[in-house]
Amino acid sequence: MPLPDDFLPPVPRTRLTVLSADGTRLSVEVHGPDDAPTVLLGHGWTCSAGFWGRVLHRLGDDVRAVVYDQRGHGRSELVAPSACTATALVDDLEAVLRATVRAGERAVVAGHSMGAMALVALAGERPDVLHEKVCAALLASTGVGGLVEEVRLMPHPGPLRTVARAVTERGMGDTRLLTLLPPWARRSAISHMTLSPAADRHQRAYCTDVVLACPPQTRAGFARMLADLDLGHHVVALDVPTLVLCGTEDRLTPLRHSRRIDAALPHPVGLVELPGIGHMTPVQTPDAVADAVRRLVRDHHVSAGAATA
Amino acid sequence: MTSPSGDAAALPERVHVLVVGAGFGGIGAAVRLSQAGHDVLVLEKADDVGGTWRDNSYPGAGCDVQSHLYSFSFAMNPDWTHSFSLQPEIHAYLHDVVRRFDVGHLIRCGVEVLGARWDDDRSVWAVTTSAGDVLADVLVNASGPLSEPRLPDGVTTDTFTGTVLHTARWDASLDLTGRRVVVVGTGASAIQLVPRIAKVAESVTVMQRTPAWVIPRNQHRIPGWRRALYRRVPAVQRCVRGAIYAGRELMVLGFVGRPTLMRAVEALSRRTMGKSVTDPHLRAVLTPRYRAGCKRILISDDFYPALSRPNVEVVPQAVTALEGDEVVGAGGTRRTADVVVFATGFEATDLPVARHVVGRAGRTLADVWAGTGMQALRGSTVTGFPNLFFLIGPNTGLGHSSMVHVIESQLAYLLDALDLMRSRGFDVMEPEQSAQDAWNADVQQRLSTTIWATGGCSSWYQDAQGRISTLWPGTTWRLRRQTRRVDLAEYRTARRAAGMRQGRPATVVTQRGR
Repeated sequence: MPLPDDFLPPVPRTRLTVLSADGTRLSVEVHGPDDAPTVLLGHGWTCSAGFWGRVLHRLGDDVRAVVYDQRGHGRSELVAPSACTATALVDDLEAVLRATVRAGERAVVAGHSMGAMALVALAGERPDVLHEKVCAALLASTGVGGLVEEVRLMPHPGPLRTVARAVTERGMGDTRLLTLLPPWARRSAISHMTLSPAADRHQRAYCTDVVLACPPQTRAGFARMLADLDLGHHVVALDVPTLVLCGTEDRLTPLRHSRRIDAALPHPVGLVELPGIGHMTPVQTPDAVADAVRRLVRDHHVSAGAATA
Repeated sequence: MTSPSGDAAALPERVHVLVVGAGFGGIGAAVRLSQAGHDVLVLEKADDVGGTWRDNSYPGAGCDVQSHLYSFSFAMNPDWTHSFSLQPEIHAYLHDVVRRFDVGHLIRCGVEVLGARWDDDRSVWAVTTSAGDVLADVLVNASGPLSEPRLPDGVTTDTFTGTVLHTARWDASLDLTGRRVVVVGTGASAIQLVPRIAKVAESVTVMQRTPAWVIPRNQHRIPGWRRALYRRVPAVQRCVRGAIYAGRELMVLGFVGRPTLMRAVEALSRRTMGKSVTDPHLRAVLTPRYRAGCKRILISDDFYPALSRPNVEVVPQAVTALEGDEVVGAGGTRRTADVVVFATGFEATDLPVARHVVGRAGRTLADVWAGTGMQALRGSTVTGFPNLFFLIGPNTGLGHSSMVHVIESQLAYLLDALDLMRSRGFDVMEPEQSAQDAWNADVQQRLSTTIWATGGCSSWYQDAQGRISTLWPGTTWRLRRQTRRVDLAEYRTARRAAGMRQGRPATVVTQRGR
């Protein structure tokens, strides 16, 4: 079953390798014309740069899109589970911003899930980088803490709650558990977690393949990080115009996360609720994500020549 | 390696059979013709024999046909070390054949044939070479369809600051360790090269116009006891060879008979890819959108794993230019490169030799073929070019088996022609236009329903007009049957004027039938 063409990401115009603070090699792609406003896209847990393909096709030549593989994902260097930390993600994001956003320019940064968490963490830990390099933010399908507690992978009434939680945490953080499942079960589990019932077969096949392509040690390493993550106090530091976007049927980071973030943001510019959509918004609703990016570029982008605020 | 005949001895004034090229075809001709008692001289422009297997010395170069089958039937080699031989071993084998059959003195290396003109008055080929002129009663073109490197059209390279080379002109001194390499092409050469260089290069970017269907090679070492067995009991190796031959011949069913059978190859290829390419984006880029077999099916155990390495990138675009230190793709993509390797194949349908061979009417072979595409009778002889024979001529290529088998079929045809000349006492033979046309009509008709015509791709099998002028649409034994004997009904034959006096036309004695 061949995928429709727009699932295949456009070929990056140029490609570079960026070294993070701890020396990890990060694979970075640049799409679109050099003189267009820079947009940086950070993918989530178990995904890769190509995950933004459908959004990139829609952004076309209107932006200079910088897409990178998070550490351990895609073409970026594999790292030990101990190097899968929120601070490492902040280091990586900073390194990519410094390497790709031109002096004086401030880019729109869009993060999906863990990619958005990295941006919130950056705001809290490195406000100077935020103010120097970022003009606006899109937080897509994300949360900032209590991720395992609020995940809705299976119904867990009263007494079963603890068991359900344990299974969820084990299943995500274990390198082997997923591979022990027969392929069909593995695929439907991933599809169930990441997409809503409205997703079509291409979206299901694609998202499942993307997640399964993630090296198990990376999946497990970041699962442990995500289980303990608490960035709630950093949201107030994200003081650039920020748009929040989430599907109403998101099981991994349910809508209430986005609503809480939106309420806590110092400079909110809107909460986009996508009815019937699951966690993988850039795949399930690429138009909505691309529109959100365009809106932020139109309203807030600071180009290299402009006076900084 | 030493060349079989390094001496700079002057060429003879005249030979009976002059063979151009000392690859598999030329060496085979030297052996078989000298065994049959014909006066034969082989000219080779390089300073060593081996042809394709001398030129293609890039890392990983090897043959897609099993070793036991990819060798002369009259010179079996029990000592092949791998199921699929690599270039150095095949090259050494050819040297060995030259030694075993003592034909080194018949091969003159370092002599380039510059042109050949049919002298109708004297009924000989007047051949100009870099070492002087030579007359030949019979001219055999064994220069092969895969000898002249092809570069993609319209790629400007003048401002490029790095190194540029073609896989068939490899520079053994080139060290790719830590370099940024761009490989252009994903054909049979590229898939052998990329896995080798990906291990040492800083980065490898593969520029891909069209992906290939790739199936496992199943390369393995042939254990010592098996080699010993083949040495002691050659019949065992003959059986193995026969089994491989038969197995490959079954593939004709898919190529020629029922192209839908190729779905099985596609399924195998997808499974192979699925095992080593986990990234769905790369899988999509690598999955062909034409029926397997339309372009050459490639075999490799390490190509897909190599493409999955983080230092390897596949860019699904044609190359348009090399500028400064960058390779520019058709979509405007730019990749920095220290070295660019063109793995872009050969001029298979536009043979350079055709421009230098002038026939009876004073026209070159290239002129004659310009309108019609390459055409010959039984892949061997061409109307208007008396006493010219091809080894691997038009429409004798295979998609499924050993070209050495084809060479031997065509050698049989050549030998029969030479024997007939001797026994029937004629000196000149030229195919009738009607016979050549009928043979080509039949071949083209059979080609029209093959995978190569219907598979939905463009390939090097086709010429600029889209006509398939390279491939044989059938089994190899069908070709063998068709080239077993010369049918003189298809030829006009003539005797040469006595004394071969200049200015006097040949006495024409037309013979028909056998």
